[in-house]
Amino acid sequence: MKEQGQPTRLNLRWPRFLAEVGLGALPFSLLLLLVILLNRQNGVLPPLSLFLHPIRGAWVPPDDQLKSFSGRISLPGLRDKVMVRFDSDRVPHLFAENDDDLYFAQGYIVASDRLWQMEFIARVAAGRLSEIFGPRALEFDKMFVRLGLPEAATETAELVSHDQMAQSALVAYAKGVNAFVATLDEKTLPFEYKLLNYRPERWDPVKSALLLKFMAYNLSFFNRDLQLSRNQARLSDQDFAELFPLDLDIPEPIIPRETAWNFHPVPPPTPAEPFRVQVDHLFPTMPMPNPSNGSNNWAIAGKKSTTGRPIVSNDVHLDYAIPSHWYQMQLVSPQQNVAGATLPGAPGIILGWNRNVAWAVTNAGTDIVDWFDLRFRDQQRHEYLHAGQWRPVISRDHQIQVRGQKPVTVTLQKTHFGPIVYDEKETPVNPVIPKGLAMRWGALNAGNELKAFLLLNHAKNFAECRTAVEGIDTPAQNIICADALGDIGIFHEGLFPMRWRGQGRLIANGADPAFDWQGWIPRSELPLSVNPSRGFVSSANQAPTDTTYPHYLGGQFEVPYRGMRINEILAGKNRFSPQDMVEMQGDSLLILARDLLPIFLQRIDKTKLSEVETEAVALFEKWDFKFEKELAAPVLFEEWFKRLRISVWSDQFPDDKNFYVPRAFETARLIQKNPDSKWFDRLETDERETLNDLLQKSLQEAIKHLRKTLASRPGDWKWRTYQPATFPHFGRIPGLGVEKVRARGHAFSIFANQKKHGPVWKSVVALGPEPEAWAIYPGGQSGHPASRYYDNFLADWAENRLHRVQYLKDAKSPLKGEIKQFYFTGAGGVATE
Amino acid sequence: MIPLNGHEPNGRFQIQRFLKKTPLIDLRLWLFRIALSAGIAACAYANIPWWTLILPSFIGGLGFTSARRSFLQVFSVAGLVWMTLAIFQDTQTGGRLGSRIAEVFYLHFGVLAYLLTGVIAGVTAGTAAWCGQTVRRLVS
Repeated sequence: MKEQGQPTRLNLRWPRFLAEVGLGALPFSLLLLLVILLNRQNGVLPPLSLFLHPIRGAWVPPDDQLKSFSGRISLPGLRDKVMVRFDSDRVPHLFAENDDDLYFAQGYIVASDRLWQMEFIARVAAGRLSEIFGPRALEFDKMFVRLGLPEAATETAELVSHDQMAQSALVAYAKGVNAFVATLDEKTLPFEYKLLNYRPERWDPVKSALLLKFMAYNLSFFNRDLQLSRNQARLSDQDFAELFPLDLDIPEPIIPRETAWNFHPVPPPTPAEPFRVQVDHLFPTMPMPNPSNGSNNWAIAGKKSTTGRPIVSNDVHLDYAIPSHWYQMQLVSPQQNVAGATLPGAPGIILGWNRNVAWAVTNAGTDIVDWFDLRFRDQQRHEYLHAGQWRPVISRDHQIQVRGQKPVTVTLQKTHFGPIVYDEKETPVNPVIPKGLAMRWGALNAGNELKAFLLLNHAKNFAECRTAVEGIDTPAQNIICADALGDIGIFHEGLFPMRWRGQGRLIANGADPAFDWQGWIPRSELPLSVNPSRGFVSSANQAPTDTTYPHYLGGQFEVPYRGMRINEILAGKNRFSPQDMVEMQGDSLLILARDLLPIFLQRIDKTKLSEVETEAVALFEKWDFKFEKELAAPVLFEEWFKRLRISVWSDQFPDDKNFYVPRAFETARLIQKNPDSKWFDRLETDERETLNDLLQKSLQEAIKHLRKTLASRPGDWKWRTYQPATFPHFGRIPGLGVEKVRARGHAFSIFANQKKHGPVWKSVVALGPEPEAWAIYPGGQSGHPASRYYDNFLADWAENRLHRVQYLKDAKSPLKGEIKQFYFTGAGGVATE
Repeated sequence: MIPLNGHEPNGRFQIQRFLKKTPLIDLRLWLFRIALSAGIAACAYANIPWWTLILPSFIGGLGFTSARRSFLQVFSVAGLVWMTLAIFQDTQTGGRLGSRIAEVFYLHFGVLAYLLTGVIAGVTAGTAAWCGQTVRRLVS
């Protein structure tokens, strides 16, 4: 008999069974949760299971042996076979039967190494980063959309579509890129796509146009209109004119001083009343294009060269990035044989040479960005006053797709000047963009710069080179042309607005039509120098002319030290070999230091220095003003001058985002020409400080700082430790860059190496019966972060060891160290060898 | 009760007893490990979703009487398979790939990228084996 309350047998088993089943569900639930978690995107983190999959994920090794390029690759759309040969630097040499096939194959090859990079830039310019990075990129996207880059690229692509040469190249190139994209699967996707978990889109000519517009942004969106306007509001007219003269006469303009101008333009009418805008906005610290974006170029005539023919040198300065901005190639067809650097995403060669002609570019820096203060009719901001009439603001909505969120709609507003880039309520992400003002920017005009470069690729002589560069509107460039027959010349080329003196320097009055752009400076009146008597031409982003040039160009030209040094070397010797040119590119002498250091040392009171400070100053005794990586003296000079400049200007201009702080050149000029100036007196103190006081104090502060951060003994300081070069990944993805590269150079020396900015392409071309060339860039041909060709050029770049470029006459020419040879053929592989 | 490390309660080490008890020389277990490795590797190489490694792991789990042992055995086998494959891939780049992947995750050492890869497969496969062992327990 059962006891009262004792559970039955059935009662005892079922609860246990149910409990067992309940517990049994636990591992299944966990498993489900695991699969879901490991299979999904978490913020910017990729699905870990897919990314770390050992066979199909990030562990797929790069194709360093080029195994995917074997024998013949059939590409539907090719008309004839294209032969591809890779040399020991993994530089491809392409041989096609016609230009269309050449660009088709170029698109395929460049995409196979740099697809992610080129697509990324196109996305940046299109304001589509949020689709990949989510809301963190939204403000950045808004900026580019409001700047009008996507619209300008579309208009450019439309304009180019009517030009047979450029359109054929763009279409063929896009076909090549898409042929490569079609080969991709989960396993062969480039590394970054796996990491960011998305797939490439089809390439089209608009994307190439976006890429070129982004380059235009990088090279022409410099303006200090707002900052200078704020300076003006703070200073008397006399002080403003003293510190920021309208025409800064520099020692070595690009065009030699003795050049006579044989035209007399009539400047546009000036405004009846001067205009001063009231601006009082603060800006966050988002980066803008680096003002140092620039380059060096020079060419010597045959009479100055050991080869008897012109030698052309070019080094291009941009923000450091890896993969590099550039990709090295040789393109050969019956119509052309051109080599050099191509911009991944655009057909042809941008920096280079062919059998007869070499060209070299530096950024022009001429002002093509103006801001206009608008007087709106009411708070609705639908109409603004111009020339006594109310004109409509044209608005349209633009949708930005955001990963993981709903799309965001941005209202774009446009005036006859151009876009209103920011609304009053919004915060600009770029410090040079004032709020609520309309912008006119030359880069928003549709232009066919691509054709200019394609014509350069095909140019057979100096005259054709000259004709080609006339097609460059934006970004404006100082372009050197040289041909094998012996002609050299430099052209300050671009589409520049005709201005009255001072126009566009400060924020303009949008209501007064006198501030409008009044046409363009005729091409025939742009600065140029052809076969000058001194036997060389050169530029380094400095002012193009002296003050006698009849047109007002405006612009924030680079300080002239690099240009001065180049001209000094070129004028100081009768003949140069190509190797001399290479060595010149590695020159690290700083003229600023040579000019100022004697003054500094004369003005400090050495009796007031401590033992260590005396030891530090003694570093300067044998210094040759070169910024070599093992030296200590450059460290002290740099820190000393930096602190001196801050102590001179920080009372007037507390920061360089809201104010335009006089640069090194203006500061040095003040020290040299007016050492007793009132500007050396600090406003916040009762005493009257002198230059000597500031020098003494900044020296002691610099030494103290360096002892604390670098080494206690001054002799142990090294320039390479003070300023190691850093190469972040192109998309700023952590872990994929290269840090602490030891290189010589200063921002204002010929080797313009800075911490995150400097020469990203170097070439020397000796023209002759067959061109001989040397080149290097920081990075490598492959875009795969684990490839040995990802950063294999870096060490040689840092030592300024340029590689001999193999310029092949034809497909049968010998290629030293050839690592691969294969053919692209049309559909079915019908072409024969 | 002889502990698995081969020590008797008096502290003397008995090698025969250790070999008899330790799973290292259990032939059936080794066959199981080899078969499971082959199954996991086949799933990795085949053009099928990564989570199909659940299937061999689940089947493997059916053979265990202990949930803990099923998880640990299959975790280690699957983890090792993925890790070995990753290491093999990385040897082709001289270790650059492992370093890059590790740096992306702020791990600083390439070996940690191998471990992370192994843990992903191991945890999933181990849990699948636990599921298999659970089914066996419920059915029995």
